[in-house]
Amino acid sequence: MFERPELLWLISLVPLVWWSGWRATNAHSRGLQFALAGLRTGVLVALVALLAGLQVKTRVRTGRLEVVAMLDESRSIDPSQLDAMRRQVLRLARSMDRRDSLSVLAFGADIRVLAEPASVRDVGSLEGSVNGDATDIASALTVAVGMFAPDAEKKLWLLSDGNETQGDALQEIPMLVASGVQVFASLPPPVTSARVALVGIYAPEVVRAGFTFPLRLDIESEAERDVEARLSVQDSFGRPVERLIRLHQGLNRYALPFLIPKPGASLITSKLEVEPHVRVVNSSLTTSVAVSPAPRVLVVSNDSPTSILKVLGMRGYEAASAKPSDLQPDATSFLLGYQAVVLDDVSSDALRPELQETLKTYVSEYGGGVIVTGNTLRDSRFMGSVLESFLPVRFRPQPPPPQREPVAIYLLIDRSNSMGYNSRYPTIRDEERIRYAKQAALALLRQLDDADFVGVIAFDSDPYVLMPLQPLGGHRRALEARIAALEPGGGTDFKQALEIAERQILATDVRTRQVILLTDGDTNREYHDHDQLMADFARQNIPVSTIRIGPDTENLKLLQDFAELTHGVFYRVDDITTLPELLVRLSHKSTDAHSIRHLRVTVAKRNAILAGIESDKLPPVEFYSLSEPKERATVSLAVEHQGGQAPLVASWQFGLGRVATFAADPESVGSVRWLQWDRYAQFWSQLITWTMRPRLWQPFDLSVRVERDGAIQIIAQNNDRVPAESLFCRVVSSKGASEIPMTPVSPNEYRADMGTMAPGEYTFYLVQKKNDQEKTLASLPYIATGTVPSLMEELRLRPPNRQLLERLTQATGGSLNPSLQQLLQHNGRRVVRYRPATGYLVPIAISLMLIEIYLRRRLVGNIT
Amino acid sequence: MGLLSPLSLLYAASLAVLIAIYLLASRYPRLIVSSLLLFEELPSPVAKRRFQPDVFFWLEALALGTLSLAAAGLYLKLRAPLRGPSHRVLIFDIGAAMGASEGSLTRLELAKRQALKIISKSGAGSQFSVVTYALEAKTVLSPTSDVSAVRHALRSLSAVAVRSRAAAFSAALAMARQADYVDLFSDRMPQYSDTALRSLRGSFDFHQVGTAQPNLAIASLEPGVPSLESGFCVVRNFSFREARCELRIELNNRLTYRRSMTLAPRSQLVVPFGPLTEAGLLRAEGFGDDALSFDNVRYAYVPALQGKRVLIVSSDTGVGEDLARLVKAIAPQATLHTLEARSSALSANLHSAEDAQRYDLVVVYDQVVDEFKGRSLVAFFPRSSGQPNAGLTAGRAELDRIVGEQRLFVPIPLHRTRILSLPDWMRVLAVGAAWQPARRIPLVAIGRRSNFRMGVVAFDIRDHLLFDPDRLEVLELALKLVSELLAPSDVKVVATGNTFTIDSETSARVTLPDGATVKLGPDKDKQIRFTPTMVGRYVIETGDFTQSVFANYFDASESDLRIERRVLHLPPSRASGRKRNEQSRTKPLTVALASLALAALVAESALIVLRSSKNRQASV
Repeated sequence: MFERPELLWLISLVPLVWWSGWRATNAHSRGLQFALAGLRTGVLVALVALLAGLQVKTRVRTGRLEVVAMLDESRSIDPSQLDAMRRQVLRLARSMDRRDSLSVLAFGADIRVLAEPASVRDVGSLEGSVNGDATDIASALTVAVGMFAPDAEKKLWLLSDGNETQGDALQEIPMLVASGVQVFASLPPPVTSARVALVGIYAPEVVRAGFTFPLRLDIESEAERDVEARLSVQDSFGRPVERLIRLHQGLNRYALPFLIPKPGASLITSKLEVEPHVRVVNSSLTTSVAVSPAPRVLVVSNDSPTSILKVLGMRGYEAASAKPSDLQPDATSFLLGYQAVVLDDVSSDALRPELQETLKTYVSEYGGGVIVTGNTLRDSRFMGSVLESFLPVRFRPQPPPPQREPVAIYLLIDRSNSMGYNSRYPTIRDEERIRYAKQAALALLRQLDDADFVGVIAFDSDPYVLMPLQPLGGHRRALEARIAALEPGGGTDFKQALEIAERQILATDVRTRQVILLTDGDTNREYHDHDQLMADFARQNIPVSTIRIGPDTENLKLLQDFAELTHGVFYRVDDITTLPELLVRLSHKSTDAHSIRHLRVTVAKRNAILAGIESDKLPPVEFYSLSEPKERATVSLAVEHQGGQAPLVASWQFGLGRVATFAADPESVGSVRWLQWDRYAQFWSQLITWTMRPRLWQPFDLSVRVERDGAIQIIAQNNDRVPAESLFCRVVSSKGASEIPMTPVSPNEYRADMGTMAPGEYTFYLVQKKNDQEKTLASLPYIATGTVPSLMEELRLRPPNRQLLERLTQATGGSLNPSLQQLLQHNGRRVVRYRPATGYLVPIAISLMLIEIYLRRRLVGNIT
Repeated sequence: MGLLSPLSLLYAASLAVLIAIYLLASRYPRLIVSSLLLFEELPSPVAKRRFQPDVFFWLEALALGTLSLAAAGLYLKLRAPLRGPSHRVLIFDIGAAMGASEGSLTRLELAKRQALKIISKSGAGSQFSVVTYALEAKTVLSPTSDVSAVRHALRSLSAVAVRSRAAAFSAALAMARQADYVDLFSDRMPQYSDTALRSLRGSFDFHQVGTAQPNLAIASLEPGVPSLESGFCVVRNFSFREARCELRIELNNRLTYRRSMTLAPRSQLVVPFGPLTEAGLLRAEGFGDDALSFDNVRYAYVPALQGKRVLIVSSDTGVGEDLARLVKAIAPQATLHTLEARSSALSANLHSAEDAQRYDLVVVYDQVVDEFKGRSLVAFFPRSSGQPNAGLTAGRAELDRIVGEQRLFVPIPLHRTRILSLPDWMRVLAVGAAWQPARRIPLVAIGRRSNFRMGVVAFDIRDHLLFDPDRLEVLELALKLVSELLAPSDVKVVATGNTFTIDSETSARVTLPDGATVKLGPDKDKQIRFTPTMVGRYVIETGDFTQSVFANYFDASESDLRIERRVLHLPPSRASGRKRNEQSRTKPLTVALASLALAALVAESALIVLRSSKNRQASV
């Protein structure tokens, strides 16, 4: 109220002045005395108030308009748009009244003052750079409000597309309204040329070394017509993957199959090249992935699960096998060394209830995966068991296995001296040929049922009947032993062996019959010694398939002609390791000829297990285990059953883990079409991938979370549920190591805030310290790319956010896309001002003084 | 020299009036005679007396002349620099940490004392402004040389329970850019950009206040699920010493849990409790050796869901069952009614428009919901009115982002999806991509308008999509949506510093935690926006609705009361192009002229008194 209140003491002169007025009258009327004294006192009071700087409160129309222009210089604004916006600001500056003021801010992720508030019309060229990796309109509004003088009319002109990626501009509305700021917003002009931007690159959270995974890339295009482009992706190991693509208008999302060969952290960089006339806003993006080692899978089986182990091995899994008897009831810690367990051909006798409980805990509490397949599902003694409780299916009494006609196969194995040598290096006697021949024979036997007729003759110069043609059942083991005991020696003559085989085959009434002759060398006889025999076989419709091992070409024609004449098949084996497979295939040809009915397999529900597998390419099955799906189970594949369908592949989530069943037997001829199917390995890989725990179980799982502003958080999930204290995250890089404590944020989760990290390779170790000891509980390799997530949002080619801008402007009394006139118009807002009271006090003092003088002079006279 | 208002020189006409008064007075002189001379003749002064100014005239003329010149704004042009600062801006950080105790004072009070010392040492005539910053920057006092006004302004400052924003500090610097001196009072140097400091015209000094103080804070409070799941409270010790703390948790104002604990230095402890026996308002308070009280209290709310009535309308039995399971998972004791939809229009499926009012929540699938009159609605895969396939995507859609969270690593494929056209009062919770044509679309949204609340999910949820283990994010979103819409809307828990909105066409009366009330009016959107800055309960009363909002405060950086000493002094900017005090200035002479006038008045008064005394003595 008073600018110089310390001068108010002068009011103490009132008595003197009053007295002088009183005494000036000198025996005239009291009224006059009072008048004179009062007038003089009034003059004194007015003068003292003037000296003390009395101020009066007035509401005046502000004559001064202040405009703060905010230029959005984030990366979502095209340079041509920014130029246009700058020109708009300069146009405004030239049109403003000299009394008004204009200041200019640039903003993105941060804010910069380009032109201070000035009454002169020189705002400069508006050059200046900000961090354009994000758009923070809220912070820019806060700073802009600070630029206004308190008593001016305040207009804020926001030149932006409104696509904020940080902060919330609408939260600033109360502050804007309270400050009396009107917000006007102008959208940037449309871009003159079409743009393309690589806006996103995403990899799965867990990637396995050597496994193909889909790397997703998002590309946005503004071009109305399709644009040809080249997309290339490269990992830390420098192996690029390129693809020519065609970009449509709008969002284009690609899933590129990608593979990283080694575990650890890897950087994946994507680059985009387009046709020359199209502008690329962003042509490169980088992401980092943690690549885990090959997943570990345990196959539990009473038998040798060769086909499962083989396909898993082919697909890069680290597969181990064990017999049920190898597992202890408290095998949890053992099982935790694997991400999935396959129960193949495990009977209820072998899988004790305690072990079933262990498996159940392994799934529900530790997130492990279990797949049950093969003969396990056929064992209806599992009904009501612990195993059934966590499977997605219920066990059912099994129908009798479908019968097929028995076949008769006579195998003639060359055991001559030459079979004791290596197949590629005939001078090396390592018994390679006889070894593979024996393996092949045993593999053949495994494909045959007990009802099938089998005869085996080993020959050198003479035939040795290992087993005459008879049903295999009851003799299998003995025959296998005899085959295994074969030793090479002697010459080569297979004529007699063939004759024995012919006699014995003709003595049976088996319709499907075949002779398989396996030899590596020259016979002692001449070609034409076999003419009659060939004719007999041909006449009796007994096909003879001949297999020649080794590089030797002697009697090649005899073997070829024998097979051709008798409608058998001739094979010349270069790679002896394929011999077992070859015999299996040959046996299937026989069994297939008069086999049981093939049951069609259909897709019941498509899911990740069936990704990339065409419905029409699914092979049929001949034989499967019957089961009944539970209510919440997902049946992916179904097979025909009595007019309906039965589950072939069923799955569900159980507690923290997943369980799946595959009702066919991977080792059985009933699934032979599946075994031969070219997607079989892919199917098993996807089944295991869906079911298994993503990572090996550890007491703690470490993961990295990148906040929108690029700050990094390390999260440790406690899988043990046992509270842990004194946890630290040790960060190791080539520049050294540092430690940061992990703080508990919930009963099972701990976090550490790392802030932003410089690009580079790091390894995070979760360490527990107790007394002087420390223990590493988990580790995670990581590559910091320096890319902030908000940047990906910023790069998107989005239309302006009109809704946000409309709300801002409407709430504050402004408008969207105002004209220059609207910006320059003074709205005559009233502001409170404190002004010196000089203009009132002086006339009061002068008036009072003159009145007093007149009264004193005219009425009172001179005092002399 | 010059005149600021030359027109006011007309007041100099008072001198002419003065002369006229004197001339008039001299025309009719008064003679004082003895009463005994009544019958004597006296010679009368025939000749006119000429104007003879006496000392009084000159004093009066001086007074009137100086006043006229003061009115006309006589000023001097000066070139010499002034001795003292012309304008000093005092910037105060009023963020939460400034409310920390330092003995018997707070850091803010220490800052005020420092500021008062600076004021007292400043030259006479210095002007001061007071600016504060926390969420925003505010000029509390415009430039004034009235020291008492400055003191009054400083007394009015108090810390608020929010984190100080870097943008607010930048705004405060912007407000101070023309000052000759800028003094910042804070316990820590805020984030700043060099350009912001370099843009200051005057010098800059950072006055750091405070010493390292202990602080115990309640970092979070999760209530769990009544009768089912324990809750937990996270207590944090920011001190470098061990700290003892007593934690008390009240449910609906009844003590429900109490525990004493010792926290290691710089550690955080997760304290489980419960499960709670009922729903309601949970309040946790920590007691210990603690300098900051803002973060000692925390609220959480468990909505009472028993007794809720929910209606599910669906044309697909499987979907209806899934929705029922979803609702039961959130509110096991809710009363559930299911209705098989006979029509695609919800209004046709309900017996009457008022039917919906009987339910706390209506959940519908594949329905037209335009004429819904109930209180809360969740629409899964809603139809547009009219054509049944309107808005369907031609190709596949994918969910790829939940708003507020990191982007999902692998986009989740969805079933058929409808393109939604959302009103501006709805908030998007999840977005995705649609194809043919390719574009981004909102997939899940929620909003409230007056007393009506609505959630919407754009994609089809057949084939048990909600419970697909490969698409758990979908279940997460559905749970969030339904939970929020089932919960009562008259209680909310928010964080201080976050603006929340209330739909209202009329003003609202807001009672603050300290008992004060404010009135807030709606903006053009018919919304009232309010930002709580205190911890505690706010009661918001609009015409027909009363809402309690409980505000929590915790910020790890503000609650950490350790001090990292920092000294910062920047000289006046040379690049500003305007050197302080080197331009010529105008100095109005009002005070000097008024002083002369006053002196003339006093002198005249003294003379009058003297002469009248002399005359009295002479007559005696």
